[in-house]
Amino acid sequence: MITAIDTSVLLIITRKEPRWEKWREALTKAASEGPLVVCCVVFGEFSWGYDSVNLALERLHTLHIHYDPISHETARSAYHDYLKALPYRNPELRLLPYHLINSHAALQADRLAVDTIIDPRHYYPSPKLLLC
Amino acid sequence: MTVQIQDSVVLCGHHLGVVQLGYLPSAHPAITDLSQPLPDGPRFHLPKCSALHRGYAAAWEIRDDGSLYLTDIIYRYHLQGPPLHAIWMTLIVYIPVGDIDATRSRELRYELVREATLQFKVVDGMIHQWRLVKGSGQGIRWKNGFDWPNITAMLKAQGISSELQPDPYSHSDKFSDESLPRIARECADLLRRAKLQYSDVGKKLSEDDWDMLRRGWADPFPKLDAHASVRAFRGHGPPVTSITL
Repeated sequence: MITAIDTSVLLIITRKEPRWEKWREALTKAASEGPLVVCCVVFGEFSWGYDSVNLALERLHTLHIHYDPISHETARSAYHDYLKALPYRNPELRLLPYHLINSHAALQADRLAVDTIIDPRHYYPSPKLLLC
Repeated sequence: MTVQIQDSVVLCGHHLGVVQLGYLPSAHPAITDLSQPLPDGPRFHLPKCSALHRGYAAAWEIRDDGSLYLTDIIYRYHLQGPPLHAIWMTLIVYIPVGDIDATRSRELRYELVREATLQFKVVDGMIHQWRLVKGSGQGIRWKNGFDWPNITAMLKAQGISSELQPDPYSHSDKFSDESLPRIARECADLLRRAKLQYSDVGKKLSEDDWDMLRRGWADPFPKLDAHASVRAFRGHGPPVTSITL
């Protein structure tokens, strides 16, 4: 089973925010069940904390978290969802990063590890979710 | 030899090409031979065309009742008036259908060979029998009459494209709008399986391994919690300019 990870989870673990140990356990278990991946958005956001791309890749590689490029189908699906959401007033749904993560997890992975304050289905309606 | 201009035939609404479907009557008042002097005018000079050695190409039509009509002629002959029922024709008509056989087409060089041939026995301009031939045609029996629904069903059963003569360079039905979502799903599944097969499945991580993430990592938003940081990264939290560029 392929698990895509959202930036929120990586930030919680890295900063040791509340519930970080639960997430660490959950991802350790997920790693034993299959590859852990991050899409371009998550990699771009999380790697911003490192001085270089190489360092970010090395750190993620140590944890067997793979950078998984967006496929053509995922890109098209994300943009399609984005266009569908444009008429709505909800500001989050009008941001392409959410749609890219959603489509990537739905089409290129089996589930998405994500931590949100409100119902994560609000942001990520398509994939199966791994929550703590 | 130069590739020759083909006859065209409309077979129950399908526009198809045939090297030479039939022949013209020896003399017919509606057909004018432009190479001969006209009774009331000058003689046309028709230069030879290497792509049209027989001097003309004809357009034919096979109607739903199995009757064969001559609808137009180009170059040497001219057809006046309405389409002519080809009652002078008694022959077997061969119409190639299906995908192009690239190997045999290369061997013949000047003719596109397709995977099958639709054959019609025509007697006095009417189709009496038909058969669909793949390969040599030996042992394939003729079927009486002209039953287009039955012919269509036979073509479908033999896996012949509904276009009958599909363009070799078109994507045909395989990449139609209807099939794209299915192709996308199949591609995604293949990628997923490849990832599972070639990545570190079942990799054991220790809890200490996660400390590696912190080494060399400087928090872009030290005053925000994880959720607010994500919102900031994506442009709907605090101004993005707070990130050091």
